[in-house]
Amino acid sequence: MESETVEEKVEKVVTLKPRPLVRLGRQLILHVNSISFLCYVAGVVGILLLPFLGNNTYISENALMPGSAQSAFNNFDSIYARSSAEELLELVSQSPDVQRSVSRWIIREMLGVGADCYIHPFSPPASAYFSTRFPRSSGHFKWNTANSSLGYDQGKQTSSGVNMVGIIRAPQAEGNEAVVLVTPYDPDAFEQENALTLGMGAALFKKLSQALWLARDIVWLVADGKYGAYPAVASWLKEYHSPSISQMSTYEKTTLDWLEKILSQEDSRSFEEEVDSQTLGDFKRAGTIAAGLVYELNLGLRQGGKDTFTVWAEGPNGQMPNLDFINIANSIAVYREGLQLRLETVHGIKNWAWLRAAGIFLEEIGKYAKSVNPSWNFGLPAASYVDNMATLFSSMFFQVIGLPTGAHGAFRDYQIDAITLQFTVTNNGQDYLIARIGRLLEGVLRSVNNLLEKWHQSFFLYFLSSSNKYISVGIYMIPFGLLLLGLPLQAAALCNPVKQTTAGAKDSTPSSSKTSSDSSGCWLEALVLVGAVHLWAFFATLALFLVSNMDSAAETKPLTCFVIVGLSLMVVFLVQKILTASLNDESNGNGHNQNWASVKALTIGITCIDLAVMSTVNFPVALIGALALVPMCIGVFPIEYTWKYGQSQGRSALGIAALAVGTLWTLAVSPFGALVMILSSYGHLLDITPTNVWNFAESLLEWRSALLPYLLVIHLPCAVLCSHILLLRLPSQRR
Amino acid sequence: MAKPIVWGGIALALAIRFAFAAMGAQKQLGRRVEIATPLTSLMRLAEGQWLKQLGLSPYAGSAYHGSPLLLSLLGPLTSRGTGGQLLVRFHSSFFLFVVADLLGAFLLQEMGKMMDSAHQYYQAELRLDPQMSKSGVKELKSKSILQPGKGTGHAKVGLGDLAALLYLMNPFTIAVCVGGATSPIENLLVIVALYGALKGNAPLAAFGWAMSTHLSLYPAVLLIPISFLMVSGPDKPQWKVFERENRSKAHFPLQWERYGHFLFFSAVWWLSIILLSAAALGGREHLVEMLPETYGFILRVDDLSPNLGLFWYFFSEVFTHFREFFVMVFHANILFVLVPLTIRFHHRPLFLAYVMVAVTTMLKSYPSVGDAALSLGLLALFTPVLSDFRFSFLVLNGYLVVAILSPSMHHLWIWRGTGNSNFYFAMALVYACVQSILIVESVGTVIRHDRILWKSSEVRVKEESVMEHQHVD
Repeated sequence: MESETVEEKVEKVVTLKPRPLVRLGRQLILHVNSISFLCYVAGVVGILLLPFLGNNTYISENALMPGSAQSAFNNFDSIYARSSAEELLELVSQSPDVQRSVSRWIIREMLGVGADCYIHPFSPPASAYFSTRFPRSSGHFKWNTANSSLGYDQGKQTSSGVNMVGIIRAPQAEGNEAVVLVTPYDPDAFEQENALTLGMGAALFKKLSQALWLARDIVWLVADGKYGAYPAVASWLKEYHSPSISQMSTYEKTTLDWLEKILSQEDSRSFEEEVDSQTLGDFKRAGTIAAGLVYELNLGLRQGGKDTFTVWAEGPNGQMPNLDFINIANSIAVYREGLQLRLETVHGIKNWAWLRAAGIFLEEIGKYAKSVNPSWNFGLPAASYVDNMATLFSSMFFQVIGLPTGAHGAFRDYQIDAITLQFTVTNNGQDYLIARIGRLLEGVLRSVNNLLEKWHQSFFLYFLSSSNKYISVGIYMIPFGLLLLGLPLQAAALCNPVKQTTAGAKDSTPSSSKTSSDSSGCWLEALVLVGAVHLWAFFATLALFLVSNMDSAAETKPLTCFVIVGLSLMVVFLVQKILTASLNDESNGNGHNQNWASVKALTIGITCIDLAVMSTVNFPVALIGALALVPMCIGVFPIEYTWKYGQSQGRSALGIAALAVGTLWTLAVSPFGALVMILSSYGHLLDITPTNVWNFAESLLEWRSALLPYLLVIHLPCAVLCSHILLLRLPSQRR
Repeated sequence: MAKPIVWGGIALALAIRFAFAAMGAQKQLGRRVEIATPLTSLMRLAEGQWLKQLGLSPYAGSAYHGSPLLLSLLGPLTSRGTGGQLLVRFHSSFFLFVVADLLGAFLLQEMGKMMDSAHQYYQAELRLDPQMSKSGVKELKSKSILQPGKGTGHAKVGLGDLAALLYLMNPFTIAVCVGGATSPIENLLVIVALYGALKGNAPLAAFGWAMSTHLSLYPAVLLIPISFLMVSGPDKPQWKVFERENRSKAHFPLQWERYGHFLFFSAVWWLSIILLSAAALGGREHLVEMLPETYGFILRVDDLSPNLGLFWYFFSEVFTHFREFFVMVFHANILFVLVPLTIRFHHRPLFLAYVMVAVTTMLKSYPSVGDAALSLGLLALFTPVLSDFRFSFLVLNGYLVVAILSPSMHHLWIWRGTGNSNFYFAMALVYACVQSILIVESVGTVIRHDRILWKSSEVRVKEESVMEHQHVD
């Protein structure tokens, strides 16, 4: 009796009255489940509302002055472009070697306007996966047929490609800055499209060589698209910025070979006299590259009665060029040339029923809001909402894959802003359209030419929801933050659990004192477990990398990798068991049970940090990761706990439902569950075999896509830890 | 002593260091701004050595800003590798850093043992020993006063072993050691100073203090905790607690004589440092050049390249004519906290030293994660008093955030060009925040601990008087 009063006295003296902040934290932790649920729902709703939150684009950098000058490209130039294309087609049809005749023609054109001209041979990409075709006009990204769609065979791999480069020196500049115009063509499938693209380039180049306003040198890079435009541009940029000293001699040798091949006499026209073969071999430079502009002309039909063109901007891992670049293309096209800018959407998104339903629902809400207060005018018609969302999701999809959507991606590695413009030209009425396209390209180049500093004014982190609406980083981070917010709250709640009432606190005193004396031990164990699983994940990534470099048959590689990863996981759990046993052998030998709460808290903490980091590397990957992992991390409980909760007195239907959803979600997101789900829903669309999956993984590795680190370093350990939590046994103190 | 887990931990820490070095991590890590500052970068040191070999002043061209003694020690190692194909990757100064880390860990272990025995001694003095399970004491033990050696988690690991292992296994320590910054040596010297002071070894303490102050200036503030350590011994509960227990002051004598020795040896060491520096620079007249290039460089904050600190962002924005004023204000922050903390913690000088190290880690002009490695290593020595620490999960995650997100933000700003300086400075702010939470909470926890001791002695004295009354009755 006596002793109890003393104890209470000490406690009374020692415990301080909680401060307001502490009390607020207490309230947060008491209602943590409902708060984190609400945050998640708010995050999902926020993503759906993104089209409403977008702002109209504007040109932030005043120096660009798009369209302020009259473009000089006129109908004569467009006739020149078309006649050049015809001449090219004729040349190609006469000659057996397409590349040789095209190269000769380009060199003659470049030298004809007085430009510095040289050839740049490059070796083919080391790996077949490097030249994966981009998800372009087909609309579908057929990753499972990455190999076959290439038309890639061993014979071709030996032949190197060659780029033609012409440089117009700006008459009034110091020659320390340049703008690159890229014209890709495919010598193996040289048709009217390619000829038209090259003819267009020649006409534009000729026009630019007469321009007096040039403040930057213009580099015309005719990229050999034998292996796709990307490797050609990438290797040119590499040679431009960081030439390899050790391979200098081989480079010179291939250059000589190519020169010999191109300049060799076989017809009556003496080409040798016109050009100086010495200067054709020298790699010339034009200073810092301010911007890159890739363009392509395709033959096709007009869409919706309008002449359209498509902008591709996604670089590696979803890096976007400065928003102003797209804006000037858009504003010149719309306000001066009457062309319509289009953003490519992945086929099929517009038909999603739930998206349409959401669009109709939001339209109704907008209408209702307007009827309540006419000044609330935020409604968006359902059709345009679906369009915006489809554009947004497509852009995210391209970014999730992590591959650049075209040759402009190669510039991004050198911090150069670049975009690809893809024009569709009809067969009739070409001249007029080509003149407009020429004026647009000239206008964009002239705007970039006006630039005074490095691109810095406008956004780099943004999504386009339509050609004139953008969603900046400040807006799209809000739903992401809401999605993540539940995690730190849950972790805090698991770290210092708050008792419901003071009576409850009284009851649990003996048990809590026991756990507190135990707590440092179980935290250490949880730390060891979580650390070990994450180390294992790094090891799995390393294993993938090593196995892909191995010289073995492609069929055995996936199996090898799978076996290594599986075995190492078993080793990790074994080591963790031994370590745990050695840490607390004397304290309680009778089967110490891991405290699931500490494991869960640590898992949540590290997942939250990982996702935050991933959002700076590749935002859409982090967003999808948050959508998948947050419910799993929050909702996972040991099955025994769920069972006991179902049996206990204080159960509620809501609680049981939440626990069931959490368990099911964990099962679904775990690797096997995800595999089963993908197979059952998309199995008929995609050809999923171990070899194809392996090829996909290897191409992601080759492209340094952030998707692979996400899957292996964030998703996999998190899923493994959550599955482990599911199977953990509760400490048997209640009995 | 020879506990397998300790030796295993040391072996693992060594293996990690050598594995990273063998993988060629030195090149990657040595360029990170979080690891190598203008003061500690080995690359700059190699530049200084090169200039020195050419017969120029090592401080020419604003590359090197460290001590001439350090240059004499490490300079010859930077100019050549140890030979061999694989061994080229092992920077020859790498071995020196590994040895420095090991020595630091060893000294921390010894300090931990001393702290442990001191802790037990004072607990026995206050009759807080485990045998006496009086009611009030029992309550206290369940509350916070964890007996070392009785905890379940580190049943086999003593306080010193824990501190040594945490110091060696800390990713920051490993990164700095492998990355090639001179911080391991600076950290070792600070630990030497504190070890010497704790041990009562005046020459050693004076050497550590003088040398570490010479190398990085900021350990100068450790003079006060070291003085208290020399005069009144290791950390103990507040004096008033002993007073209530009727202990006379004679029980804990103040050792002024030892302090006199310390001052004398400090003077001797300083003199020899100055003379040696002059000799290394080749003449006394070069000392005039050395002072502004080393201490002046630290105090004037000339190099505004981004790092984890708070200075560069502010001073790249501030108007030139306010610069001197704000430089003074920023540096005075460290001195401002010194006085109140000394008044509050004069009975716990080693803890005071830890707090000062942590504060300088946060407020120094060119911080690196190496400084954090030192302060976190010292923190482990106070495990018994800090067992009530509240935000450990938050702080752990905070350090993780900084460790992962700051390279990512740096990449976004410098290499991708899509971010800007604010992105990286935000990480510097988070780092400062985490550190201040750690400091404030550890200070608060120790104050709470002291208060609990005080209250418990009150309870016990009352109880005893009641019992005596009963006895008399």
